Amino acid sequence: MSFNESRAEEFSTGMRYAEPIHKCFCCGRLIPSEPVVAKMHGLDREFCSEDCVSVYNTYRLPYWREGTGEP
Amino acid sequence: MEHTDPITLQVIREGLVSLCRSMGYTMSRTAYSPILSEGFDFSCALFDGTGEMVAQAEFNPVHLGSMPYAVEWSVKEIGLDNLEPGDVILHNDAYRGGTHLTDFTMMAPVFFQGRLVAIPATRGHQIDVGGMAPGGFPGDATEIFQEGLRVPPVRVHRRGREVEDIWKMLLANIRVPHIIHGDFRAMFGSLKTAERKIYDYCNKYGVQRFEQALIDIKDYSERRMRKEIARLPDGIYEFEDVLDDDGISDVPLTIKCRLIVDGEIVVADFDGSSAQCDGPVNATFGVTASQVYSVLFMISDPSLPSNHGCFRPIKILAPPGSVVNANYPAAVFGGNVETSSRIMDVLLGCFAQCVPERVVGSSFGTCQNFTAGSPHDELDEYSIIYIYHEGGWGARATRDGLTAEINPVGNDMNQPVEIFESRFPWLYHEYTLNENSGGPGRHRGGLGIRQRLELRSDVGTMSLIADRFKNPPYGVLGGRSPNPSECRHYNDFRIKMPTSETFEHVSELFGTVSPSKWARKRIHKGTVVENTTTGGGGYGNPYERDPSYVRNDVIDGYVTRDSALDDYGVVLDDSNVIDPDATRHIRSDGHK
Repeated sequence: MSFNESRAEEFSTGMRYAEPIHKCFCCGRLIPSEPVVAKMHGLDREFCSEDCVSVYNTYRLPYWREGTGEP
Repeated sequence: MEHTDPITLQVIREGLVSLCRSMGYTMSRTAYSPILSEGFDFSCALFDGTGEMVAQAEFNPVHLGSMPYAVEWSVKEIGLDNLEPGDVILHNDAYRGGTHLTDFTMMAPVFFQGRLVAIPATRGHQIDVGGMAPGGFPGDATEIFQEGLRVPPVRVHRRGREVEDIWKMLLANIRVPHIIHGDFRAMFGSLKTAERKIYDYCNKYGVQRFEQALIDIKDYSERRMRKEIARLPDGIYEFEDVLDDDGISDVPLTIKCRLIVDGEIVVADFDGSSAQCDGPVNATFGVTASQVYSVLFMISDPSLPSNHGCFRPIKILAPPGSVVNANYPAAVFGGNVETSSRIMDVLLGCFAQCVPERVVGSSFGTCQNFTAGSPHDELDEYSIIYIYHEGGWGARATRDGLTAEINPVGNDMNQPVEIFESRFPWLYHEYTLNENSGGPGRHRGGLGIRQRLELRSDVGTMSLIADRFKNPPYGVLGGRSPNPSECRHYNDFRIKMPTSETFEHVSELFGTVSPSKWARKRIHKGTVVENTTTGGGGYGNPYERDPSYVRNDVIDGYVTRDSALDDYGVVLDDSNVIDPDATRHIRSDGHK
């Protein structure tokens, strides 16, 4: 069952309607389909693509560590 | 399948761009609203069977850069497998890849021999979308629900038949349904134009060859964009600028970008930008991304074909919950027009450090969005106007900035006075260049404009979302910001009530927090509104400007004699003859 089918079924069977507001842990865009889940700092994080997982590891993480001390 | 040979590739590629232009001409010739027929506030693009953009025409940059997000979301939410011939999808939801609610995207899958081969899409600004302000742009909205009707991707045609229930629900929530319905049909007409031409390509080349060409076109663009980026000096470039306020409080909002050029890749990181605000100037991710793409195109070879392939080496990082990537359900109406302008300014500021010869000073930095609704007594109908104003663009390394142009994020046209007065209960009193509004520089910023219009119907309700009233556009390499007006504003909006002799700011008359963002102000017959825009930033030291150019600017009324002396160090006598000795003395003595 695809991401959309599961979401449609969830809505149509009378369960709670939820806005699709999952954002990529790296770039921040709303994820339109099945997210790529990767473990970061022991936690499961949702990404919009494998590309963003790579950017997170090669740019975002080193920059935060060097610059602001986050995460 | 073999790759497309280079000549066929170019023939198909240019043909598809032409196809998108044809879609636009269909739109402009059949639309009801002058915002589309005259203003060209729409865009047309072609997507392949996977939902990736393969061609677009030169319409509205903020549409074109963000439309891929809306199309991608639509096909993924509905599902490619669920699309059928004759389906048409409509979508405007800012929180599903959209930008702001008046910008509707309509798309129609095109099937050939039972196979989905392409998805033409068009985005058009509708003159109303319901919500708290006629014509939209509610400057005091604090959540998206106040801004109008959200339409997630829905099929408004199924198997070639209109879905009447959807249309009734949609049009019942709009103030001018007869206009909007006509404009939606114009959008549909543009999709049919594309469909016919796609059939022609499939018949001529065969489906498989056509589909391979679409893949090759994207790959070609990716290679070209990577080469463009590789020519940029590697480095980290940072810049920030501000929005005046959000309409709810008077606190400025910071847009900050850290631009990394690394080989063939560009990363635009907006970490450090202000948190999302209460008012309606939050941008969605698509808006922010579209500005990054636009500026990359501005500094690149203009022959670079714009499509999904170009986007691959560009990475945008926009922190969720910030003013450049708001979280649901924040108000976002002005993000697409005002925050987008500032994002463009910030990116140009980054590139001014990287490739100064290719950038411009910042523009007047607003779309100065003025909307008003009023009954039209003569036509016996409710009318809504939307005016986005022209202003000055920043100067370039080689020449002065453009004068009286629509904001660079829009690339639209103005609505001619004759058309406007014949359609709406408004009368133009003045439409002139704003003297002395260009930022001084070796190359001068372009000039803004001043408009005065009088309401001719008994009552009207007006709204505004604008910016750069308090903070000026910047100049480049010693070029300067424009001079402020007497009231210390750059862009400006004032009104003169029928019983008054003077123009006043809305903040003074109605007690709004912001002079540039407010909504639903009631005015009456005889009220005159005055929109003023400033010019663009200058480029280079103004003391290096050829004195004869300054003299000509004075004669043409672009620059005052005081400014010629104070800003450019050029001394003119009463007959506008240059005093070369005095000019040389001032210029050698002082350096602005």
